[in-house]
Amino acid sequence: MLYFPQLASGAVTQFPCRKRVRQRTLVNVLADGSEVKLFDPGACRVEWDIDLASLTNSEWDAIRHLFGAAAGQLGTFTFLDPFGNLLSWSEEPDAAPWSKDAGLTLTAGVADPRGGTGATRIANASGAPQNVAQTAAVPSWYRYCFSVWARSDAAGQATLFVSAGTESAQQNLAVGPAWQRLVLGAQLTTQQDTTTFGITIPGGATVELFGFQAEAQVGASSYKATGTQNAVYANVSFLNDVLEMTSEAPAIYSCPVRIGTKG
Amino acid sequence: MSTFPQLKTGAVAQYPATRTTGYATQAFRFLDGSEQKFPQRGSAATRWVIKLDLLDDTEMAQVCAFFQSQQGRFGSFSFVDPWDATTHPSCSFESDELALSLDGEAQGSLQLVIKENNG
Repeated sequence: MLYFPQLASGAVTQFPCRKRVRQRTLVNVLADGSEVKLFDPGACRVEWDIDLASLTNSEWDAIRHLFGAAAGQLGTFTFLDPFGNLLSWSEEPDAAPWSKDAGLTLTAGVADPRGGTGATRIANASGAPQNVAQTAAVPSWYRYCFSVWARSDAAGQATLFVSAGTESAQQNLAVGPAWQRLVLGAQLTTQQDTTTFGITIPGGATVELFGFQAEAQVGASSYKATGTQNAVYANVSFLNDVLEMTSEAPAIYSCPVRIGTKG
Repeated sequence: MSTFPQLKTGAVAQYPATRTTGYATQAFRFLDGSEQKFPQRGSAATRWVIKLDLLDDTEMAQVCAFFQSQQGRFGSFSFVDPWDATTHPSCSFESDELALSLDGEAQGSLQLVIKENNG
């Protein structure tokens, strides 16, 4: 499986980065000026213009290797959208993509740190630690930042983890009565095509959680709420057959890349 | 009916903001120079050009998700006119394309055109 490479900085792209969302609607304008519209879902596309600069040899090699492996615009690869959140249903841990251990009771519609009611209360009635986690179809060896807002009436702890196969990175973090964003940065070494992001609730504890977010970068950015669509685009290709590289100085390269979802 | 999302400031638009009001008049000009005109729609249609700068990731994602939920210009939504706070119950995006630009941290920008639907 091919993936758009992560740079040495831990980011997938650099500033400036441009994204275009293209939809297609057929419109018939009638004599009185009113319109009859028909949406064409098959024509929807997302495209990114990425101007990469100051690339090292290894970064440039990774881009060039991907371009060769994809044979220009012919093949497809997975791209982790830097504008988005890698997790689906980021405010609904009771939704299908999330796995919950049996001892947990989830209550939705709890007041969240933004003044809404998007948080979820998770009570662990069992005596053992229990997990809420989501597995995303992203390469396990990339650097990730996993974050979630948390609070608890009683001071305690929760454990964020990022895992793949038998390898796991985790961190115990304090949770108190005030909302705070728990953040875990992790980079695993195992080579898997999926990665699991989750939180462990200690036995007997109750915590309120809001805004799960995973990103392929070092630090957490502003929160992006998601529904069905997350930031993992598995069917992306280059938009042209030519990859232009400029050598700016010894071992420093720049390269504009245009990629987009394939129809 | 969904509503166009607000920025963190509570606003829906930033300066410079452009609003146009347009009529669609069909005019027939005769050989003697006289004209016969009739309106193609009953009332004026309003159009807003919304340019947004210095957006953070949350605001960008919110607008992008709204655009996708509307399926481009297919959907209709209510829009509160930032000029006079009038709610226009049936508006659509004018284009099927949304271009987002991220020039730095919390330096996102985009431009949208919203038009009032007729009929």
